[in-house]
Parts: sequence; C-alpha cells; structure tokens
Amino acid sequence: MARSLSHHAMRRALYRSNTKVLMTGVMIFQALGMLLLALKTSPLDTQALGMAILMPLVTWLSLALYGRLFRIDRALMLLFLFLCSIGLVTLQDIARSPETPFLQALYTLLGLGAMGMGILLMRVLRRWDRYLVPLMLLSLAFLALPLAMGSWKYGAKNWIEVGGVSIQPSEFGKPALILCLAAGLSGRPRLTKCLPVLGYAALLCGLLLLARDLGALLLYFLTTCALFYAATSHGLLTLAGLGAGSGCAVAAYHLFPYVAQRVESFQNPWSDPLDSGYQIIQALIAIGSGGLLGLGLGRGFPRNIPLYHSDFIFAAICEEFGVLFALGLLGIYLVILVRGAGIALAARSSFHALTALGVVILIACQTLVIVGGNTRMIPLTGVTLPFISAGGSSVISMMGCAGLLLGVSSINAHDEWEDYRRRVAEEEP
Amino acid sequence: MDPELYAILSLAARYLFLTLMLLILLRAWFMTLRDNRKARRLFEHAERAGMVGWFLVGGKRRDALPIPREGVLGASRRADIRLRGRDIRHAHFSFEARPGGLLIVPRPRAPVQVKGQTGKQIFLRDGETLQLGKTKLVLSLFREEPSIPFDEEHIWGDSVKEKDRKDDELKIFEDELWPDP
Repeated sequence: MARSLSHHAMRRALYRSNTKVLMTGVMIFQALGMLLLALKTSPLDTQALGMAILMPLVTWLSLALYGRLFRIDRALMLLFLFLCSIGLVTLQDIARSPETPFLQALYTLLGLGAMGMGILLMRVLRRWDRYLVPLMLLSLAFLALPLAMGSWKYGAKNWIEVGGVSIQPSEFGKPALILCLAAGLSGRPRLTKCLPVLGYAALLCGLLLLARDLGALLLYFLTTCALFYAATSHGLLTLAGLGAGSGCAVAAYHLFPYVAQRVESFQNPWSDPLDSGYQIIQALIAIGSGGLLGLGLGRGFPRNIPLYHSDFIFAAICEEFGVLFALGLLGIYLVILVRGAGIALAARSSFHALTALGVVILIACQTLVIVGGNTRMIPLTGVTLPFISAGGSSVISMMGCAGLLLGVSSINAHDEWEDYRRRVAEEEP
Repeated sequence: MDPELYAILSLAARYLFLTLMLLILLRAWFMTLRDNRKARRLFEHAERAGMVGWFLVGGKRRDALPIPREGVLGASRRADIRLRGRDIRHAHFSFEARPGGLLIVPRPRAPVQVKGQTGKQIFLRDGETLQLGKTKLVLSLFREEPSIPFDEEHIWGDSVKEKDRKDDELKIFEDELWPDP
C-alpha cells in the first residue's frame, strides 16, 4: 500500500526543475553563434552583433515575464526559444540579404506576443463551446481568402497580400483547427456529436486541396485523425479515416499531374537532376557534405539548394552544424513532444488535454514531414520546420500554438496548487 | 576578419555548438523525466486531485462516488463514474462541473430527474438529489475553504527551496520516494 505524502513533501513535489542551467546554455548558444557570424565579415556585422546581445536579453526577459505572470512550464518555453535561436543563427548566416534574418527576428518578437495571447486565451477561456461555431466560420472564411484573392506561389495558391505583407492563412488555420477539434470532441461525445467538427475539418482539407497546399492538407488530416482517436478511442473508425485518406492520396496521384511529379521525383530524383530532382539532390549533397560535425558556421554552400531558408533549412543545418547536431535538434523536438504529452495527461479537463495533445501532434507531424522530405524518406511537401524556418506566418502561428500548450501547463500548475492547498486544509486541526 | 582565421574559429566552434546542444538536450530530457515523475506522484498522493465532490448513493456517505470535473456516468466500464443498477444505462448522462453544481446532460431515453423535473440539460446544485429511475444520488461538493494564500513566488522561485534544505524530515522522505536516477 502506498504511503501518503506529508504536505511538506507535496509542496516539494510542486516545484519543477530549476531551469537556470538550461537557460544559460541557450543564451550562450545565441551569443556565441551571433558573435561568430559578426566576425565573419569585415567590417563587423553590426546586425549580428546586435542580435548577440538582444537575443539572450529577450530570452531572459520573456521567460521572466511569462514565468511570473502565468506560471508556465519554463523548460518548455526555453526549448521553443532555443529552436527559434537556431533558426535565427542559421538564417543570419545563409540568407542572401540581411533583411531576412532581421524580419525573422521581428516575426519572432511578434510570435512571443502571439504566445502570450495563446497563454492568456487558455487561462481565461471557460466556455469554449460558445465560441466553437464562430471560430469555425471565421477560419473557413480565412482559408477561402487565397482562392478568392490569392496568388500562385511555388505551385500553390495559399498566399494573400495585405498591405505589402504576404500572409499564409493555412498557417493560422492550425491553431484554429486544434481549438475547434478540442472544443468539438471534448467531454467524450457520441459519434453523431462529432460529425459537425469532423465536417469542418473536411471542409478545411477541401479548401487546401483546391489551393494545392498538400503539405498543410496532410498536417490537418493527420491532426484530425489523431485527435479523433484520442477523444473517442474509436480505433476502427480512425483506421477507416486513415484508409480513406490514403485512398484519396492514391486518387490524387492518378488525377493530378503535380502530385505524380512529386512522387516520381521522390522515387528517382536523378532521373531529372536539373529540374524536378534538383532540389532534393542538392539537399542530399548538402547533408552528406556536412558529415558528422558539419563544415562550420558560415562555411557551407546552402544557397545551392532552392528554398534553403524555408523548406530545406534542415539540410542547411546538417551541412553547417553536422548530422550529430541535427540529430540533437530532433531530440529537442522529441523532448517537446514528451513534455507536451505530460502536460496533456495532467490536464484536468478534456478540452485542455485535447488542446495540448493537438499542439504536440501538430509539431511532431510537421517536423516528421519536413525532415522526411529533406532526407528523401517521404515525398517532399511544402511545410516549414517548426520555429526554425524563415516565414512570418509560420513562426507566429507556431508560437501561438506553443502559447496554447504553455497555457495548459499554467492551468495544471494552478490545479496542483489547489490540491496542495486542500490537503493542507484537511490536515489542519 | 581574415578568412583563414575565421575558418579555424568556425571549425573549433563546431565542437562547442555540439557540446551546447548535448548539454541542453540531456538537461531537458532528465528534467522532463523528473518533472513527469513528480507530477505523477503528486496526482497519486493528492486524494482529491481532479475531483470536485461526491455522489452519495442513496444519500449515504459510505457509498460515495468521487466526481471528476467532467465525464460520463453509467454502468459501462469506460464510464468515468461507474454505477450499476437496473435503471442505469451504459452511458446514462454526461456531466460538467460548473460553479455551484454540475451541468447534467442526460443521454437519450435515460431516466434523469431533479425535483421531479427532467430536460435536455439539468443543473444540479450542491445538496440536491438526482433521481435515476429507482436510484438516488445526492450531490456533495467539496467546500472551498482556503487556509493559505496561493504563493506564486514559492512555487517557482528558490526561496522556499533554501528553507527546505534544512528540513531533515523532508530530505529523508524525499530520498526514500524519489531516488535519483
């Protein structure tokens, strides 16, 4: 029989691990990476020098602020910031223009704001079912915008221009999808009650198919299936859904030439090395050139790879930092996954648990899809490496999703305190 | 900077970056394992963790069913509150904690009454009786009587950690329950 803990021991268990060592490591990486890049050019790169000072400062400030205000999981936030730092350091090195890393830093700051909003949303939102239908309609309308007024870019019509700024609505649809699925599938609903939110997810996927945004379509589909299974435990229905999705993929291969071309260039990129296979071949050469330890920061040739700053940034990281570093990067994503799953399991309501799980599944799927595409394990799709790739919409929406996850961790901390308080009250004479 | 000097610096920095990555990764991993273990132990040893009150079967305290914040009550093993009886269906009703009571949503054709009234949604207040056919359930919510304020500083800061280091009883207890990996 388990011994019960004294309330002193319970209070001790409330403390999470000290994050000072972790924070120090992240700040050292930020400072050293940027300092090294500042020394690369003559005269000194002042932008890199400025970032060497500002990045650790922003890390420390944002952690102190959110940690005090919301009692979030600080270790998780540090890991997100570490990923953003890797992206900024890499972009500062490989981007053709200094404007790219500067804009990315700006977007990361905006992303920190989005993170705060995500945390606040989780803390204050009580009646999520009330906002389900408006959020569904809003996200459907937002995702339909590129079809009405968007432009074709890289073979997909999933961008809109607002005041000279390009926005990708499918990125902002991700947190909306997670919230709607969590709200619609919470409370262990009957199958008929799940149909509206599943229909909404299907509509989103349909819009993405029309826009030819296959990467986002894949992510939306996988996230929906995973959350459906987590909420209802209907294994057979989930498998049926996955089977239907696979059938649609096979049909798309036969019906749409661009899908067939993607699959063929994945199967044998060397059959057309200067056109359809060029991108993946250059990525593989870059990964191979780096070896285990990499060529060194600032000594690679990532610009040979098309879209080296967004879709193929993983290959650029492998080239300059090495495969071992890249494996460590994947390990960071794994830790985020495990930590996020722990937060989901500790959540006291199904809505919060599904929200946390949805964010974790999205990050995991997106990472696997893009890394698999970079390393020619699966056909390439146009998704970004979360928190690392260049792209304002991507980093802001992913930080918003991270905010949702941290918000749930904050609620868990509050609930644990309530348990402790109740225990102390019971033991008082 | 001289390109050759930069090349040497860059090549040397590879090892540093890899070391930092390993440090961050391993630190984060072991922290995660430790924190998840703490959270699990805390949940196991807080008897009322996640609960909001009791359903007293037939009004008797000895037959009390703990109520989580939300879930389903029914005869099925998958129900969050399992109650067996002639009139109890596999999934009888779903419920959600609200301030002052529970929001009950009966499943189709499941008999649920409060004060002789039924409906698609019923709000059950603390102390009221829920009639499920011949089975009576009395709702008893936990009384919230805060005796100590929520101390944010001491949850995430180091000040209480410093104080507790001198607590011998706590240290012995901790070593027994959470041996270092």
